[in-house]
Amino acid sequence: MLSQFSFIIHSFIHRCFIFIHKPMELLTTVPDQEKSESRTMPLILWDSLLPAEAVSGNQDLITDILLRLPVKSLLRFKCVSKQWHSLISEPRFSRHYRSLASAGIIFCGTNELIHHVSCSGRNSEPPFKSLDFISDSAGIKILQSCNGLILCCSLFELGKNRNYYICNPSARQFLVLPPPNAIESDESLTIFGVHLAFDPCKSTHYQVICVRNCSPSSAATNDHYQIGIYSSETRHWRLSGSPFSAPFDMVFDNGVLWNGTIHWISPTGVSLCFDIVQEQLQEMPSLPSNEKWSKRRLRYFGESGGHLHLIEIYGAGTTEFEVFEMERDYSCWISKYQVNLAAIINAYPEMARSYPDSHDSRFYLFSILFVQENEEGSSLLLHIPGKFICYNLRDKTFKELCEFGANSTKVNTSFQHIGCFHAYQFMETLAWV
Amino acid sequence: MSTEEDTVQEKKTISLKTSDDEVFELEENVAMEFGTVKAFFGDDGVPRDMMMPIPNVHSKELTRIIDFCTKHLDLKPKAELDEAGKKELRKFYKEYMKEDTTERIMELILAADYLNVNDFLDLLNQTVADRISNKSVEYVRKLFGIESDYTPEEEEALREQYAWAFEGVDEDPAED
Repeated sequence: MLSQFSFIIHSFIHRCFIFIHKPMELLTTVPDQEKSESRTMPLILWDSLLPAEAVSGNQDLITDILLRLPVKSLLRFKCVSKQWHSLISEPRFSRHYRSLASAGIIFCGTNELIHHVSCSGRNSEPPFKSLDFISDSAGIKILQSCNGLILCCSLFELGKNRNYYICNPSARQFLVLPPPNAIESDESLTIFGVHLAFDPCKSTHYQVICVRNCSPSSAATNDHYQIGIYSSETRHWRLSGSPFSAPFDMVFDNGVLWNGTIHWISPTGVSLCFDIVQEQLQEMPSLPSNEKWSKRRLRYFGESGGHLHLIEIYGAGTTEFEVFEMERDYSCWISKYQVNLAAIINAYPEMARSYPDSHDSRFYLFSILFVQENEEGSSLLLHIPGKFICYNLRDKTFKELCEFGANSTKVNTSFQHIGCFHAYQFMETLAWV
Repeated sequence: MSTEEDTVQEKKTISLKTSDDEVFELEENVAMEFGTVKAFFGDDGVPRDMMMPIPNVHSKELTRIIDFCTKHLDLKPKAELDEAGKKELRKFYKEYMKEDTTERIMELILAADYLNVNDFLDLLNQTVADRISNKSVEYVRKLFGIESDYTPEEEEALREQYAWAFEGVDEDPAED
């Protein structure tokens, strides 16, 4: 109240106070001595309202302020007034909502630990801490994160089909997808991969693409796979195109979305991509030469900032490798960055290990979590024992992101001491699942 | 600013007259940060030595806006050069509105909106957003002078629907 009084006095000196328009609402917020000056008039004089009220009454200004809030606050502020409720619920508002403040990378471990690192590197409040609002007896794991929506599935349980969920974790909202393996078939088929495609700039609707095998009756001898598409607009699955064949080792559950197209690669070097809009399957240029090595060693395949990246590392003791990027015209993979981990290994000698039966050969414990490209720069996010490291791909400097104790990481095998982590880009969205 | 030649000195300043009849002379490059001023003088037409009235802006607000624009114009090119410059600009944004009351910020928002000073308006709106983020519904209503138009039943239903969003909300801050 004190501030309001001091403001009123200030205003007396500088402005003329006339009360108009919706006198009842204004009167209730102003002390008694002002009431005697109230009159009803048909128009609002710009400087007759308290500044905060003038801002609140200006649709453009209040919208600009609200667009900067986190989802949790926005949903709560629907309660402020009916005007705020309709403003926040408008489809136009959620289309414009891009919470840059919440943009960052989330790290998920096998025991559902979720850490969050914002784009600017500050450890800020994570937009969500767990997905426990989705209750599934088997537990759930994240498959992909796409512009604020997350595709997850239940963990494996013997004798049960997996459930697939689409959720907006910021709004604590989720949807159970109808089972993909039952599309146009009574038989329970195998699902090889499921992928979410959501671009709020293009549409408020999202799609889920799955790759499954064909029912034996319909397939030709070699064509084993079929694509199914789920649309949030129609709320059901349909088959897309005709059955197709792919190398037996094609990894369909490690697809990457780039340019509205899902990309899959296989260790034998063949890669496929599926354009979601055109519903067309195409082959991609072959992977970079793997020289004398007979088996490909893929360490990273992902997308960031409109670029598709690939990292392969050959040789256990290798500390230098390249980050490849796909040309926009799909002509070939080009070598974009050279990485040398020697400086990091020097700083963190716990990364080095030697084989139990040989003192000469060493190998290094690290997993590549993410290659990040944005206006701030390009960096490689690594997981090493007990830490996350951010390696700047341009100036080759590095820094620690956050540290967590050894007891929170699961020991996978007897000699590894890095947990199984996955990193996903995430930015809050108001999109409805 | 003065030249060796004996032609008329190019003043390169713009005059603005505020609502309280004060006249400000600002350097042209600072004045052109104001979208309204830029539109007023345009590429041709209105001569630059004409005084522009800004009846909706008080001298107190204008002084502050000029201060922001001058400092911002200095820091922005440095931020595009290197990381240190970026850091300094980020620090400037973080510290510039720290001492101001929320009311003062609202006055500045209205002035910056009228004058179309987009960079400052961005910072001001972000500051308000940061101050209301994770605060209670009551605090926000009081701040903006908004009366709830929900019936008690409607409000109760909403609070139940988003019950989780009402948990962990900050305490209402003390008066500015």
